[in-house]
Amino acid sequence: MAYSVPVATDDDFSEYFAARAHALRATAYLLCGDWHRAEDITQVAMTKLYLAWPRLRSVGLDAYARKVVVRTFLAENRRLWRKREHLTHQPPELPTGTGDTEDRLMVRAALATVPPRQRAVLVLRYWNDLSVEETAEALGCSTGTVKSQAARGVAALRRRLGPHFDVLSPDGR
Amino acid sequence: MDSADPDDEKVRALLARAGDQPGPPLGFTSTTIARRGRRIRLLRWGGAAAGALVVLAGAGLSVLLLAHRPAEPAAPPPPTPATTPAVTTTTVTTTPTGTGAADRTTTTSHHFTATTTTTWLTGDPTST
Repeated sequence: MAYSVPVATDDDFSEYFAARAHALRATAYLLCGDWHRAEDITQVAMTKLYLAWPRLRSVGLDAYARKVVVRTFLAENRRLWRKREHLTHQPPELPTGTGDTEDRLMVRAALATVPPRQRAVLVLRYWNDLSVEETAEALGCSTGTVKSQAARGVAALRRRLGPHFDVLSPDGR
Repeated sequence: MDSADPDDEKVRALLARAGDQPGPPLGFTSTTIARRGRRIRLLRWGGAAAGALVVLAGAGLSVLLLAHRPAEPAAPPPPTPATTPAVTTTTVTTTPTGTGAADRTTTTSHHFTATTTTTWLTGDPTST
């Protein structure tokens, strides 16, 4: 067991929490599209991180935390109750906004239609800027699967957004 | 493929647009997480200790049962073949002469369960 500089104290965990909790919750939010659920996922992920803290290498903390967030999200999606219930803090009719808010809601709604596993690939690849190999490691699948899922996810997003897909990108604006 | 695809940058920009918002404040702190983590650790330790105790108790009980196992009753010895007859009964019946009936001697021998009866009539040539 050749662990490098183990981080084992609650102070270290508190520092890491303060630095990374919001970023992890943003990842969870992009995955599930709901702040409350994102908070639940982040809380579960942070608890698992705390339990594994003594044996974690400091260099792999972020990768481990991201992996736990994504896998917690996917595991929750597989549960039957999640298919029956959908918790949301927003009413079904979304308020019409202008500018960035409307665009954000449109993108979020489009992202919500992408199947969960493809969404996870998109978020890890394009939000967390992970490589194909890192994404495959986080999801526990092959690099070929990551590439195919990413291509399908992008196609689904493009199909859903239609012309907005190009308009909302930096080149289109 | 990853860097050459023009869609990559577009998706990256879309996700940045969707995710770049502060959101509500976190509803938990590192202290909350640490407290919950310690409780889970304690439960795991308790479960492991209870499991070890159950295993030890089972092993001890097995040893005790084996050590105090009641002795089985001894099996009866196998019967040995007898070399001499255990029971021999001899009966001699003599019929007085002059009664008109033929003189007769009866000898009965018993060997275990078998019984052999031999009857000699007076003047029978086989009696000699």
